[in-house]
Amino acid sequence: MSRKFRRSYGPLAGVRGATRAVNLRGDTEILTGDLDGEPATIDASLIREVRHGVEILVGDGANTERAIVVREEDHVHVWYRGRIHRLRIVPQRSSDDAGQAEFDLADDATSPMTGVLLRVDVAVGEAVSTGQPLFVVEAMKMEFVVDAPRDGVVESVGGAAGDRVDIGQSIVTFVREAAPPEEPVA
Amino acid sequence: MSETPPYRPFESVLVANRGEIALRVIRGIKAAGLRAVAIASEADATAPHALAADTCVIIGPGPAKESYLVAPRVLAAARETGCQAIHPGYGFFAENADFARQAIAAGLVWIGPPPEVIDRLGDKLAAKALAREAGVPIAPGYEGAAEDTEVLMRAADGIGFPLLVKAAAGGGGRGMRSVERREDLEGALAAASREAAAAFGSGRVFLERLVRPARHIEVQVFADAHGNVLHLGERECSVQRRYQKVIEESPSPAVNPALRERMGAAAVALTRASHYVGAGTVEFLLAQSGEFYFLEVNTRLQVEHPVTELVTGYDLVALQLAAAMGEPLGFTQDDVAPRGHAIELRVCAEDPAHSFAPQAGRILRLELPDGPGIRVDTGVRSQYEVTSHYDSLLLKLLAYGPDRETAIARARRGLHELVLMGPVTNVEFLDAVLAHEEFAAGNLSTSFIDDHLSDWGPTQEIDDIVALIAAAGEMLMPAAGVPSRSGGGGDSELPTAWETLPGWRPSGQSTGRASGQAGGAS
Repeated sequence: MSRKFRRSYGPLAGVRGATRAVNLRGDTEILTGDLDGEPATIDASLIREVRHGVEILVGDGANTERAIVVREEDHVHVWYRGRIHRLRIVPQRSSDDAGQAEFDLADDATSPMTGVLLRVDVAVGEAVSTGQPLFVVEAMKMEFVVDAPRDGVVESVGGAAGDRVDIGQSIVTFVREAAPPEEPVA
Repeated sequence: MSETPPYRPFESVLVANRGEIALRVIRGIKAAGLRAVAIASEADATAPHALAADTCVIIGPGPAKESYLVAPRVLAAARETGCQAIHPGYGFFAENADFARQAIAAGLVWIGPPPEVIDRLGDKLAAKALAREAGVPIAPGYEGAAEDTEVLMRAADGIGFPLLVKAAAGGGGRGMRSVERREDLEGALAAASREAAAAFGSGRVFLERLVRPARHIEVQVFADAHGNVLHLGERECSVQRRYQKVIEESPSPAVNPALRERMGAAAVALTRASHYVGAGTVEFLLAQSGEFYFLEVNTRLQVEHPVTELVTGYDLVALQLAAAMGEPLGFTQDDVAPRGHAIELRVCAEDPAHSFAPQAGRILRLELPDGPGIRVDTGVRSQYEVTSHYDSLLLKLLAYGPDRETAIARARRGLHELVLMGPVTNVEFLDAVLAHEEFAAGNLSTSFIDDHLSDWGPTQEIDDIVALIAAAGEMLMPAAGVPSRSGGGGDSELPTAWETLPGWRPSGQSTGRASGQAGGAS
């Protein structure tokens, strides 16, 4: 099954700089998706797990190089080409957070936290519009309503009421437009 | 009264320091076939220096004032472990004559110059007077004991502006003020005196012409207890921030053989005049005119001593140990033949974009560079918690090669290979200094950073590839809350003892797992 991952990164607190929204999916070393809505791809394979993170091989098509990614709470540190980059995980949009326009380009909706899926309000094939409630996650006695990040048609639903879900886990995916009615091959 | 010579053979040495210098000294002691004893605060109990020694005494809690700086505990540690000598490193007790006297009174060999020499050279006015007697050039100034502002004002007119107000007992930039205009002098005198009184217990100040622009050039000297004195060439330490050195190198691009000869001779003359024993450093300011002026003497091993070791081939700690045992220097000035070029980078937990403010935090991952022309002196390791208790210096990255260009190229290669993840460091800033065309040209001065890199800041945009690598890395991490195959502990290639000893588990983990198994999937 294809794994999906959605994350927004910003610079550390007190540092000015743009937030970058990444969506990646893939079950081989080739991960594809989008970066701020633009199609993006990266080859990445695990060299080994290290404390706090991983050492990986990354390829951009021309070169294959080593990178190290470690995570400490909401900070992600990347060592790549002799430099350390410090990123901060920017919380995903939820119903009580107006969010940023760049998040709306995502083509799936992920759980904002680790908890239990309380209910799913949409079904495969259903057309949804931006802001429409999709599912509700309960954690620490709080309910989080996750809305549709954009207009689209539900392609898959990855869970049912009562399921345990991880933070960042993809629950609902979309296709950008309704599939054309099936026609017999001429 | 005692007939025991102050410098005599010993077998066990207490290293009264921490961090990279303690580890470096311990390595020197072990290489000499001697026993090394470390001291450590509770915060440093598993620091590299504590683990490298033959044994280590925990002497108190994290703050240095409650551990490394408690003289009776340090001396008790030496006594309890059967040490016959004590090496102070730099900082802490290294230039504390009273501590040296206590150590000697406790029957220890002090690996450093005699206490009275530390006293005399530690007083800037006394040192300046001694330098003058020894024929060493000194910057024009007023060294009178007068604290009468009127007298100092008249003296200042004679010296000319800009000038420096300095604390007689000062160091590290404290109690020092530069004065551009006559009308600012009175305020500067008062401020410097107050600061000096608070920091050093003496508010005595003196005046000195401000040499500007200037390069900081220092000469490494060495003396044995038999009157043999020589120098091991110069180090240039002009690249500084807040009066603290950042990058040091040897030889200096500004010193030719004739100047080296003159500066070396001056340094040796002052060392001889002070009846010095051991390793020391004579600091000078070098003006654009080519004239040099005595600044001060540091009566200890310097942070930057390895650049001298790399170009001369001598092990300064080995020389210190031999001199402290009373052995004569086994070589002469003519044997000292530096070759190649060495450069040292001080890698610190500090934020160059925010006034070099010290940073704290856990070192999440540390991989050190090696290979041709690289030496690393470090005092930290992966998982070490950097605290605000101590100096921000984490490690020293040294590079050497046949010429300056090669040394710089290797230093940059080493910086790019260094993986130091966790607290903010100055690694990228150091790379920016090395990459600067004025640095490459050797056009250095003590205002280099202010002149060229005062508004430096790291790149703040997150590159496409970096965002993608971060996400890919996170995707490849073990799922949150799910223990990894190695038990979620250390590096997967280095399981901890708890994970490899069957039947033994930290109590917290044991209960957690048992209940998880009993309860099954919930």
